[in-house]
Amino acid sequence: MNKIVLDSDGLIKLMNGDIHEKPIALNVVKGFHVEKLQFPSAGQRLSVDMDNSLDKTDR
Amino acid sequence: MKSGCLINILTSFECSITEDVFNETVVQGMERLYEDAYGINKFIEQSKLKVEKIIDNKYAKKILADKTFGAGECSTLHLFLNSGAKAIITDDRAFLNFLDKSKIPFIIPTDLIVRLYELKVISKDKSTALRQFMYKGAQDYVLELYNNGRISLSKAAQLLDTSTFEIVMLAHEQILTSGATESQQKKSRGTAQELSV
Repeated sequence: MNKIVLDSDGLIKLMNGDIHEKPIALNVVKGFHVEKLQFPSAGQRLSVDMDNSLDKTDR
Repeated sequence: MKSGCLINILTSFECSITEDVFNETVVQGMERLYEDAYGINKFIEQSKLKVEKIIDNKYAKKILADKTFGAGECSTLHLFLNSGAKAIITDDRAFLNFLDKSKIPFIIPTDLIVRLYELKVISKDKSTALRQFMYKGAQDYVLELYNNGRISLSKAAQLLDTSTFEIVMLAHEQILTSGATESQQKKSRGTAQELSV
C-alpha cells in the first residue's frame, strides 16, 4: 500500500471537500473525461463534452 | 458539503500525519467545536489515519533553515523524508511553491480524488460530491478561458448552458486564487499517477 503524508491543509480539504477552492476545481476538470454531467442537487445540467469541447477549446 | 472522499483515501493508501498536524487539526479544531475535527479524530481512533512522531531529518532542517513555515508544514516534511512516503498531500500555496522548488513530490487533494476514480475505488455515478467538484471546475475553467480571451462570450455561455449576461457577471466576480500553478498541477497529476491501491 502506498504511503502518503498529509499536512493540515491537505487533510482539512479532503475532510470538508472545499469545492470553492479553485485549484481543486480546475484539476478535477482537467483530470476527468466524461461526456455529460448532471447536477441534481443544484438542479443544473451541464451538457458539455469534456473531451470534445473544453479540451479542444483550450488547445 | 462533505466530499466523503477522505475515508476512501484512508482505506486505499497508508495515510500519516504528524503530531503537529494532529494538534492543528484535531486538538485545536475540537477546542473550537469544528465537526470535521471530531471526524478526523474518529478516523485516528479507528487506526485509519496514523499519527506519527517525527525524527529530525538533516536534509529537512537544511532546506527549511531560512523558511518561516509553521510546525505543521515543517514536521510534515521531516516525516515525509524519514518515512519513504510517495508524496506530501497539500494545497497550501506557499508550501507547494517550496516543495516544488525543493523537488519534493506533492499531490494536491483533488488529484487524489481523481486517482481514486481512475483506480475505480470510487465511481462517478456514486459520487454526487464529485459532480459538484466538476461543475464548479467546469465553470471556473470556462470563465478562465473567457477571461483570457481564448473563447468568446457566446461560446462560454453555450458551454455552461447559461446566458451571456450570466457569464459577464460570473467573469467579473471571478477572483483568481489558484494555489497551485499550472506547472505544479501537472507535477501533482504525475505524482498521483504513480499511486496504486
